Amino acid sequence: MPSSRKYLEPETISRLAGLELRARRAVSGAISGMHRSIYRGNSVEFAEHRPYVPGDDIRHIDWRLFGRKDRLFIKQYEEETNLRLHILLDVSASMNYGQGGANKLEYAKHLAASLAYVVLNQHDFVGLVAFDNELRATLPAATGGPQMNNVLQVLEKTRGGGRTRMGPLLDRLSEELRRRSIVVLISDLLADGDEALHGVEHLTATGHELVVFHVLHSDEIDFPFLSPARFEGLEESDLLRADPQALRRSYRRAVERYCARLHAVCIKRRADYLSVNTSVPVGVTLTGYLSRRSGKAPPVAPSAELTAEERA
Amino acid sequence: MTDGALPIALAFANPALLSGAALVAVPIIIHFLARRPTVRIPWGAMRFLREAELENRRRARLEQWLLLFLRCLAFGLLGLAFARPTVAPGVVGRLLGGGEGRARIVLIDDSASLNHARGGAVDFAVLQNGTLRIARWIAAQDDGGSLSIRRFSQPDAVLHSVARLDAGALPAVEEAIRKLQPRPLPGEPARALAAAAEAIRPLEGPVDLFVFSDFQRSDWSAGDAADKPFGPLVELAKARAAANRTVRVFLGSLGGAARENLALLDCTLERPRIVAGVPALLRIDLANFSRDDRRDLLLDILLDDAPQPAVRLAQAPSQKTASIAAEIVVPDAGFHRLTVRIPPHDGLPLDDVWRGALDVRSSIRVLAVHGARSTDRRQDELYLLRHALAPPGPLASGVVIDEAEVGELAGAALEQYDVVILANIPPPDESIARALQRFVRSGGGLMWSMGDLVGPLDAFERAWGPEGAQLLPARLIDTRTPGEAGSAAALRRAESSALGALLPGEGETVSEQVAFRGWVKLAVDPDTASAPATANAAIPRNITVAARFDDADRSPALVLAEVGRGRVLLYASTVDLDWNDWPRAVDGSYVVTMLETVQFLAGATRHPVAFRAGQSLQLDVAADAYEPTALFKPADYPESAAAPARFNPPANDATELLSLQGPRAEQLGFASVELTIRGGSAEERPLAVNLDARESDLSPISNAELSGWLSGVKHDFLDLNATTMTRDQPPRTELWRTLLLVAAGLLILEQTLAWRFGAAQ
Repeated sequence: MPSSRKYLEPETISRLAGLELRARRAVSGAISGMHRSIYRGNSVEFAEHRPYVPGDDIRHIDWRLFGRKDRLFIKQYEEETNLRLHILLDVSASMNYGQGGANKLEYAKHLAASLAYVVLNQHDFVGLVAFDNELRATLPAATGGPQMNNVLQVLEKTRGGGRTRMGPLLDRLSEELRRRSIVVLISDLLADGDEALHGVEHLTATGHELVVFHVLHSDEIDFPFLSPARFEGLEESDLLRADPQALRRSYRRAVERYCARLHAVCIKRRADYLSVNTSVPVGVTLTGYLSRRSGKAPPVAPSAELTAEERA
Repeated sequence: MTDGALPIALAFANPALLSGAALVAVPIIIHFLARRPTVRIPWGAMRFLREAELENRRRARLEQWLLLFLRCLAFGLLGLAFARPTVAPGVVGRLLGGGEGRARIVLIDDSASLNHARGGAVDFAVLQNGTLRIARWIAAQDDGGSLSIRRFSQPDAVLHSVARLDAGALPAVEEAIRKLQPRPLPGEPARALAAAAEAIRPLEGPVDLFVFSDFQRSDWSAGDAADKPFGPLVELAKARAAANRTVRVFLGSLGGAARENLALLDCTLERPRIVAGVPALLRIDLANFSRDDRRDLLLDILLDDAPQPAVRLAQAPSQKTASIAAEIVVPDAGFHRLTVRIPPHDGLPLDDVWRGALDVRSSIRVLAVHGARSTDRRQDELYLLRHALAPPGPLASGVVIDEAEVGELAGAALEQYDVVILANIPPPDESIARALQRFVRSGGGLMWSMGDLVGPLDAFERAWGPEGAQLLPARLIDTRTPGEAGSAAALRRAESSALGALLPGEGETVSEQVAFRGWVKLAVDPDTASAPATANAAIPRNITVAARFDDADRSPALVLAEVGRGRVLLYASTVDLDWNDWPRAVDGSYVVTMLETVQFLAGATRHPVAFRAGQSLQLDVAADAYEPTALFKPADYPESAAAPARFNPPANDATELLSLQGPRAEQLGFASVELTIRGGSAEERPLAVNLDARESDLSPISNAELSGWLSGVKHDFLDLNATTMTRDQPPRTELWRTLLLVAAGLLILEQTLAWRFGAAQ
């Protein structure tokens, strides 16, 4: 497999076949597509009637209704437009936890690539932003086959390592994304304080549809360590000696509390929140999400069942 | 500690091992040594970790410190236990506020076994010193507690008591304790403890009962309360426990050192009656309670303080009894004092002497009555009896025999005789039967032998049986005369009976050379034979068949019974040669049997040979011979006062005995009783008092058995000889068992908490 294709595995592609990402809200696009546009247009999708006013195109007058009502009404149609998907990928140091496929960053890149594949496959636009405490890579939204390669190359080349500074960055991005889009945030959201929560709120406030993939390693969820350990911060220089057995209960409660808060904010802002365990294969995670989103049951492909290797 | 100074509450038997308390550091060292090298984990989700750590920090530290503290405390107590800490009894109770007004009762064993001495020190002194220490300690405490001292010998009486023992009251208490002496009496712990329980019952506050004894097994396991000598005390203690009026028992013993002893247990006379000039056989029983055998023991015998030939005992095996026979000849009639001594080999001399009071008679007087003289003098019944009972020659049998015809019986002074033999006489008239009845009931012996002159058996039974004199021990069925068909029978000893220690063993032939050709078939009514002694003691009782013929019916040949205070014997054949040839038996069995029979029928003297110390002196005398008054003089009379006898008045029957009741025998030696013979003259008889044989076995009962008896009652053992009981220290309570238990409890608690804390994570 070419290195640029390592984030797009055949098993994942086969699992994602037939799935699409549709915008829930109206989005603004330049060309017609499968997504509801914020503009009324002349597509075949009838929307509503409105009283005729001088200047309206007389081709849109509903003469049948004029026959019944004796008044002129203009037929309005939904404009279907193309989708812009912006993937915001957290490449901070905290994402670099875990071994192999369970590494959060690797997992996030797999997730981003798969998502880009789905969207590009439905002829929509995909853009990518990699960030930690600053923007590490930016790929403007585009569509077509070359864009997939661009996405994969950016994912391949991008290296993070800084601290997660989500707040200012998301503020800036929400201002730069002028057209209403779907914004997918893939991150462990381990920023200090409530910075991540504020960023999520800011992104949704500007009309974008937000999907949050909260990526956590199973160690970070279960905290399975037994021996006393010295925990060294991946982003900070602080360290903490602790007896994991003594802390486990409180730790899990802290994780649950944080996830619950994020979830609550997302619900409030009509954003999707998905807590992702890196031990679950990307294909499974994504098909599950997309199926739920489209109101379909997730496709049951042979590969949908977790294999022993996947579980491992 | 000096008198009056406060005692140290906590002391250590092994102070050198106090360093064991450093074990308290063990858990800390283990904590550091067991700290595993921490694993380095690069971690992203530090925010959750910090949050959890903040939440757990205070609780986790508290739990860890608590667990560490418990571990350290457990190990510290364990180390402390090695040093064997001791506290003065009651310290814990006082710390808990229970020390005020505590009553202390010391019950001290002053039984004879405490006379045992080791290395010149009498065991009783150990108990005495223990009591002194208790008294001094209580006085030093000055906690308002009381003290009363009681003895086993007189548990109902308080030897000394003070309501508040302080330094001022101490000298009088000490003097009373110092005056204590062991008594030659057996210990009666059950009685003493019952009395102590009664003394405790009305006390309001908590009570400490100190029981100081050698815990001699033979004392503590004896009597009706052998299985629960503490019975009343345990019940009382349990009843009081609920009301915070606890009873704690401290058992102070002499320690485990073995106490060896060689003891003269008893001496018994083989003949029930001793006759002057006739050798009497004395069996001497010894017991060797030592670890080693004793050999070549020379036993001294004194008769009225005059030495008699000594007896040598070849071996007294360890932990066993041994017997030896001695022959004594008392030259004249009257009361004599016999003393047997073993050399003083041990620390308890009280049981090295045995004393006996011998009532020696000048002879056994027999009246032989025959039905008719034989023409051949050598075939005559009386001739044969005389040669059997009083054979001519230099060796006296002690039997004097008088002869009488049947007709002479009416005027005979029967009270002069010990035994009457009715040899082949016809049924007597009623007056003679009544006279013989009185004779037997008042203690005389009567023997019938059968023969041709006995006449019809039904007439014989009417005269002597239930319708007549009520003396017959068996029914007469019929007569088997020598001319009847059937072979002759032999005589076999039927069963063990008091008759004749010299007769052959049970079931053996009395003589293999004798053939019985004729006899009267007898039948013993089994109901009568097994009937207990009833109010009408004048009918035959304790009926036994001493010998049977070995005919097909195994017909009884010699039937014995007691009637009143006398004895009767029915011999089913003839004493002459008419129905058998026994008198001519060359093995001498006829002579032996007749002598044994007369000895048995004459009965034992009523004068008791010996009393055991602790028994009440008692004597039966003929009411018609003595005035109902007597004076019992103790062995150390006149130092100790004499005591008048109490007596039970006899029934109207003049043959009744006068029972004289004296005081409790509390002195070893020869006491005496002064009697007044009717008519005015006085008679003094010796009464021998010996140590109770139970006191000779000095082996102690185990602490486990004592604990078993005290189950449910708080108790502790004090070794009065132990190092913790030095002269100046009060008896102290060992704490190491408690410490071990507490340490184990702490470790269990620590593990439980650790599990609980872990489960909560």
